[in-house]
Amino acid sequence: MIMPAATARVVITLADRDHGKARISFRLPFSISASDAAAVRSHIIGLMLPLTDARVIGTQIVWEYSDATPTLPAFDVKLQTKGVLFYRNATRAEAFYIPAPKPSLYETTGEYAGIRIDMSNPTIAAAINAISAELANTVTIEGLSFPDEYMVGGLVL
Amino acid sequence: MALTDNPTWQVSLTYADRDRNTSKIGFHLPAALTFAQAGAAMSTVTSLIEPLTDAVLVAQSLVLGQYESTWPATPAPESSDVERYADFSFIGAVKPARTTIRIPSILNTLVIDGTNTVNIADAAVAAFIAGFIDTGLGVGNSPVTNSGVDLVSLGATPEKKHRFSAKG
Repeated sequence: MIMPAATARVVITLADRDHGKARISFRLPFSISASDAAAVRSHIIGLMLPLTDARVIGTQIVWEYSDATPTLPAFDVKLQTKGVLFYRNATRAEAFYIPAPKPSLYETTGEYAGIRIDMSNPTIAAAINAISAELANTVTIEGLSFPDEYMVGGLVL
Repeated sequence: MALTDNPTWQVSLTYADRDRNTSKIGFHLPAALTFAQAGAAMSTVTSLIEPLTDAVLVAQSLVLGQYESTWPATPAPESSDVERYADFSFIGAVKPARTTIRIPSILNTLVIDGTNTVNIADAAVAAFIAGFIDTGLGVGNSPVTNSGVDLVSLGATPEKKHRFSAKG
């Protein structure tokens, strides 16, 4: 079962003149809000800057969860394969990856058998449509709306 | 300095196979979401991935980041060197909990002349130490150890060190 860590981690990356980099990390209570964590991060950076002549070039606040005793899958699960779902809108295309996709997701006949996700299967189409609808609420790394039109999905080796 | 907020929450999902090899995938959420909202969205996506994969979800994370918009165009001064550092060791309220913060490129002006000892009587050093023990930003908003134990005091007096050097 996925459980939260005991603490959230704040990472501050600094660089010297020659682009040598170093990281500082410290911990905050996991329950801290994002806004409070950001305030603490700024406060600590403000206290740290008079002690160093390196430059702060980036920060992260990380909330981690893990499963220490997962129920492991079958022997033949191929983690080296990924499924990819392609989406587009009027201005761009984006991909979303699925690790070790179930072989049953793919078409079983024709030239794309075993390669293309079978959207003619109602169960598979419903699952893809559900995740597509949720991805429409996400954004790209630049903060732009994730494209909402599903194009095609398939196997990546 | 112009630390700029990333426009997104970065969500990372780690999946494992039988032999505990892992594979990561990720996506982004608007940074305007609260932690609870981002966590709920992460849970929704993982539940929707579950019927599509044979792998098992073993870890996930939510990250809020910043980047320095003027770097590397405006680099650190020539005197900077991240291989020169000082370790500040803090002791937790419950023994043996402790944590160490390594300040890179510690200013030589904060080191007692003729020694490698950081001058903890210096106002800036004292403020950093005090702030790490209690930020003054309210209960639950001060640094803790990995296991969540509150930090209550400074351990050994910090020393300036240099990587690969027997002395500072």
